[in-house]
Formats: sequence, structure tokens, C-alpha cells
Amino acid sequence: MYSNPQKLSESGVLELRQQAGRWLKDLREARGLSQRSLANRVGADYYTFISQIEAGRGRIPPDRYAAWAAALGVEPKTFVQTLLRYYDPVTYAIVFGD
Amino acid sequence: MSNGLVLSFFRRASQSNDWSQQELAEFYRVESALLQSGLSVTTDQGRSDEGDPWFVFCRADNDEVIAHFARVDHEYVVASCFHPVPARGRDFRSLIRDMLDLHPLMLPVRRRTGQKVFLHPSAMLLAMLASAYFLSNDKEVVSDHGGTGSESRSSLFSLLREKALIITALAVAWLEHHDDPALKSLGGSPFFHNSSSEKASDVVAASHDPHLINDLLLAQNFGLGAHRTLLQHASDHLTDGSAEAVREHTIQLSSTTPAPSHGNSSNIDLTAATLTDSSANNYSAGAGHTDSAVGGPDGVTGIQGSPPSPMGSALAVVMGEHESSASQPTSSGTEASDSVNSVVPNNDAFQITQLEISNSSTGSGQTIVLSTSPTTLGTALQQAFQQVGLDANHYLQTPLASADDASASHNVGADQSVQSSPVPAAEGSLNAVSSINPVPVSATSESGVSGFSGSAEVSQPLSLSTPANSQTSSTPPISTATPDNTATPNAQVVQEVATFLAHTPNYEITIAGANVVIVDTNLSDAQSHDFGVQTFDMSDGSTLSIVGIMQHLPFLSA
Repeated sequence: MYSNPQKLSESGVLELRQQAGRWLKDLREARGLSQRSLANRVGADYYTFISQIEAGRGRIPPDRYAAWAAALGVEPKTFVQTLLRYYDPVTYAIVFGD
Repeated sequence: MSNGLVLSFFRRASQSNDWSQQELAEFYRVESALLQSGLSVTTDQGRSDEGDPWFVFCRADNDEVIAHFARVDHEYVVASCFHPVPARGRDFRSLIRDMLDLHPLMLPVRRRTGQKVFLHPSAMLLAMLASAYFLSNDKEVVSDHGGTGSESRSSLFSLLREKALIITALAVAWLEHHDDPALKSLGGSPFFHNSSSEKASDVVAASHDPHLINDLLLAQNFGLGAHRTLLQHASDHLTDGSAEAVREHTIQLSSTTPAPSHGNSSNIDLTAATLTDSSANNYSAGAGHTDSAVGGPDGVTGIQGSPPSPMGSALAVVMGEHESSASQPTSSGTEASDSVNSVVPNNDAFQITQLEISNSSTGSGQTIVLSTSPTTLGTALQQAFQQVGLDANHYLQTPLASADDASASHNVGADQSVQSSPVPAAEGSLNAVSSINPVPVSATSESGVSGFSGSAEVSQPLSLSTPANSQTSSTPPISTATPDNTATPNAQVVQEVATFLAHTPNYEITIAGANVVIVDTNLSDAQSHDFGVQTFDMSDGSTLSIVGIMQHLPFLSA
């Protein structure tokens, strides 16, 4: 069972996810996509989920990383590496030494 | 948006597409109730780039979203870990109800034939969110100090705890919703003010009795449905005046009659309750300020109560068990509890079997049967266990009464619905098989509410953790009394259970009143497409639900 608890403070987790949300929003707007159109492209069942993610609440499920990367025009590896910095900073620091 | 077709749980906002003040107030009221019940949640809201509103409930410990509410294209959208596909519709109430119906373990399954326990609409959202919280909690916990990271716990223990906390949340909400000072004072009980996880453990300590949990749930449902009854549960320490101290669980149902200025209440009062002990003796307890106690078994009135006072009446029902610890009389329910205590033996477990309510405006009365006893089912399970070489007495709760004892006319409420039409059958036979098509149990996305359905990873769908050989876990047996061997269970049920047990290495049994649930706790089984729920209605009003691989049931595989 997938489990990825963050050992950061509650505010730390939220702040990082808000940063991720802003990054994702910038990418979407740069592509000229509405939240609804992005939701359609990534297979989200309800488009307000995009707004929720961009607000820093919740995370993109890993099995949707590729779809998001494609929809936002980002190379998948770069996309996931960037997301990892926000979603799992501990792993990111170990793997990428940042 | 001015479309009036959306049937709001609340009153719709007139012009704005945003949540109305009433909608937000309801969300925050639920958040407050969850927090006070020891469920640490946070909330957030926003609007999409098209202006559609959303509102999320998150776990405070990991910031994962447990429920997402939105209004999109004139429809409500509700997504939670209850179900992999979000629910959509114009009737918010129906959406929540449908989600609750997906999880028979989170709330009591239907009582008797075709009847379902109901929740007042204002409680459904709270019940759903409290349940979603625990479903989302069904994840491994990584320890700071290494190890497997798997938190070992008893699933039965967890289930009872979760139910207890759901009840607490409901009660807190009800208290906050009511400005009656008498109710406020009852709300001063520490049980209702668990604001920390440490306090939550106190709830657990008071929640070992499955009958208590079951009756609490049913009574709470009854209370909310009647708009008038407050449920208070306290682990009171009472004394019977002898050298031996007795620790009692007390359920207090307080039905108040507010002053006329309050105006908006119904006229329904709880007037009596019937308890049944392990010898199938019935005891009745009347509501009111108890000042005398008479009576005994077999339906004799146990307490003479005075009429409800303007500030309310109270009915205390004692569910006792011997314990050697010292005790002190406490709580506002002590007087009534002592009275009940004086007319019923202390050395047996009791179960509230029926409540009687009256309508003071019409003079009509109504009897609500809360519990029937799994006499037949208990015997069937015992035989099934014996077939596979297990000691049934270690796991099974004694039937407390025959079905006939609680076969009076009843009417759970206007909200009841019929899902199956059992065929009358002889005692001991299988009445009918409901849910012929196994109900798929929820698949939970790894990140709680993910916004996606279909290919999301399936996690353990039930809020039950999975200790190996859990049937021999450290959780003490609920009761070890001997089932009534006079009942003649249907051989098919015995065979179904025995076969299931023989093919299911790890399982747990949860008993709540007349409802028995056997759950396959093997994680890999839970991910199978054949994993489902099968419920058998017994002729004595009890139900048996088997949660696991349906192919292990000979009835279905035949």
C-alpha cells in the first residue's frame, strides 16, 4: 500500500504544496489551458480538482504524472523531479542532493 | 447562477455561484464537531477559474484531502475515499446517503426485514466525513525508528473506536446545534469534549461492549430523527452499595421539553426502554426523574418515573459488568442509573431491545425495536466454527434473547427503505439472501481524494487493519457465554460460514447487537475483483454479513 507521510510540520507541507500549485498553475496558463480543459486532458473526474491542486490542497496521484506532464508540455522526468521537490522533499534531497 | 433545480442540503444562495452562508456554516459546523470529537481535520475552500466553488476537508496530520465538495454545472459533486468515482447530483442529501450506504460497516446495517437505520439529514454529512476520516486512515504508518512501519492494531478495536468517535461527533454536533441550557450542561461531559488524540483513547476504553456501541448508534439515530433526543454516553462509575464495586457503562437518553419560547420542537418524548439480559428476561425502564424503583423480570416496569419536567426528563439505562476497580457515583444520570441498577442484576450484560416513545400532542405511542438477538445465528456460527476446529465460544457473543421477545410492532422511522423482501421461513432457516450481487467495497486512492477514478491503486477498503491471525489477537473476547443450543440453524448457513472460514486464513468477527460481520482481513484478497459483501437475513431478525472473496461462499459459487 502506498504511503508517503511527510515528516514536515503541517504548515511546511502546506507551504510546499502551495508552491507546487503555483508552479502547476503557471504551466497551465502558459499553455493557454483552462482548468476544465486540463482536467479533461489528465482524466480528472471533476475539474475543480485542478483548482484544489493549484491551491495547494492534495497531490497529483503518481499514476497521473505522465498525463499531467504531457498536458502541460513538460518532459516527464523533469516534471516528476520538480514535483518530488514539493511533494517529498526528503526523498528529493537524498536523490538529487539539493 | 439562479437555477433552482438543485436540491440543496441547505438553502441555495440567491445570486452568487459561491457557497451560501448556510452552506459554509454547515461545513464549518461539521468541522467543529469533528475537531471536538478528536478527529483532527482542516478545511479549505476556493473557486475554480470558472467561478465554481469547492470545499475540502483534509486530515491535519498529513494534509491529505478526505472529501471534496463542489458545485459544478448546477450539480453537486462529492468525492471522497468512500468511493472511487465521485457522486454527482442535484440532491446533496441523496449523494451523502448513497455514500453512507456503500459502507455497511461504518454504520449499522439494516435492522430487521428491509429496514434501515436512518440518520437525520443534518447528521449524514458528519457521519460521512467521520467515516471518510477513518477510511483514509487505513494506511501504514512509518515509524521514526525504522521497522516495518506497519502499525499493528486490532481491527475490531479500531472499528469500535471509530464508531464511538462517529457517535461522539454526531452528539457534539447535536449539542452545538441546540441552545437549550440543559443540553449544554450535559455537553460538559468530557466524553463530548475530546479535543486531543489522548482523550480519544478514553473513548476507546469505554467502547468495548459491542452492544453498547450498537445501541448508542441506534439510539442516536433515533434521537436525531426525532429532533428531540440527546444521547449522552458516559463511562460512569456507580456503586451498588455493597463492598464489591461495580463499574457500569451508562447510556443516558435525555429527552427534553423546552420552554414554550423555544417554540420549534416536536412533542416526541422517550417514555420507556426495555432491556434484555442474558437469560432473556426483560426489564422496562421508564423515563423521568426517578424516585422509586420496583419490578423485576418479564416485562415488569422497573422504574416509576415522573412526567417530563419542562427542563427535560432523563432515562438512564445501565449496561453493567463486574469489575474490581473502585468506583464513584458521578454524573447527572446517576440517580436514574442507580434506580435501574437496583432492579436489574448487575452480573449480566444488558442490551436495550426496544424504546417506547410518545407524542404528547396526539397522545399516540410508538414502540421502536432496537435490537433483536442472534439466537439462531449464534448457534449457526458456533457450529460452523466447530466444523473448522475453532472454539466458537471464544469469539461469539451469547444470544441475549429469543427473537420473539422483540417481535412487537415497530417503526424505525419514515426514512426506512426496503432493500430486500425476505420470504417467511421457519425458525433457523435462511430467510432470504439480500445483495445477491456482491456489493463492491470501496477502492481507495492512495492519496485519498485524487480527482480520478478507475485505475487508482486499490488499498484496503475497510477501516480494519490486518494483524496476522487476527482472530487470535489480543483483543479480549466480547463474551464467552454459551449460545442457546435450542435453536436449529439452517445447515446451509453453517456450511457457508464453515467453507468461508476454511478458505480464509485471516479474518475478524465484529458483532454489533444482532448483526455479525465476518471480514476477510487479507490485504491481497481485498484487492480482488471477487471481494464483496454478502448479507444473510436470519429468521430471528439477525443478519450475517460476510466480507471477503465471494467465491469462497458455496452458495454463490454453485
